[in-house]
Amino acid sequence: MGSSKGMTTMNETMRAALLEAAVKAINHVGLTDFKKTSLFLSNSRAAFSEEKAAA
Amino acid sequence: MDYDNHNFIRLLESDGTWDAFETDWRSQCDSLGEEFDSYAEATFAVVRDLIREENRTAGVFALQIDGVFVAMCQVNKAGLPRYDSPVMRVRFITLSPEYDLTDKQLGEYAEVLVSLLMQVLQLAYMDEELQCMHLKFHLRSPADIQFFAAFGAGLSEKNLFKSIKTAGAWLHITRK
Repeated sequence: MGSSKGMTTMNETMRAALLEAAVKAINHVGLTDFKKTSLFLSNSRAAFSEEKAAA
Repeated sequence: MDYDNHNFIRLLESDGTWDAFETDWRSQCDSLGEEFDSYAEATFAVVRDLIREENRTAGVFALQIDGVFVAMCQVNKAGLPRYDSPVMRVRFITLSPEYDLTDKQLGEYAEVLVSLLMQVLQLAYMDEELQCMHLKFHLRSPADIQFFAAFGAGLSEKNLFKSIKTAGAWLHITRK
């Protein structure tokens, strides 16, 4: 991502942007529905067959 | 937050890192009263096959914070139709049993997800083998699509990437 100092700045900017977008997105869908995503293994059992097909 | 205690570790069968990761998540399940094998096996069965391949342009990675594995994902790099250069595909983004089976603050979930995404982006920007201009994140369920569409829309406003879009079961990002 560039020089060391430039890289640090870019990383900080990118992290802040990602965090703001993530918080906004979780608020948009609601924490309950966010926890229904496949990010959480307790929801992934049903998706097992689909993932095997996508691999 | 102190990011010096964040490690992004490629999980391999050959060096014990996969065993350490599985042991950690098994222990988290035990402490939370969850039976690990039924909880994790659907995903772990597929991922375990992938780590045995030890391919330079593919790997399973886990984010470790303060010695605890908090998230994992699988990435691979390949040429794909309609792309002018190789694409990094990111699948099986998964947060740990601790994040799944306890009720954390919204900000905690956002932080850990973003920390994982930052590590993936670091691979795309800087890794000698996995560096790519294009990334695709696999969205495994309707809930994933809904969340990541909102995430992508929010990120688009920041003008950090050339393009961000969701199409079908994928979030597509192209670097500038």
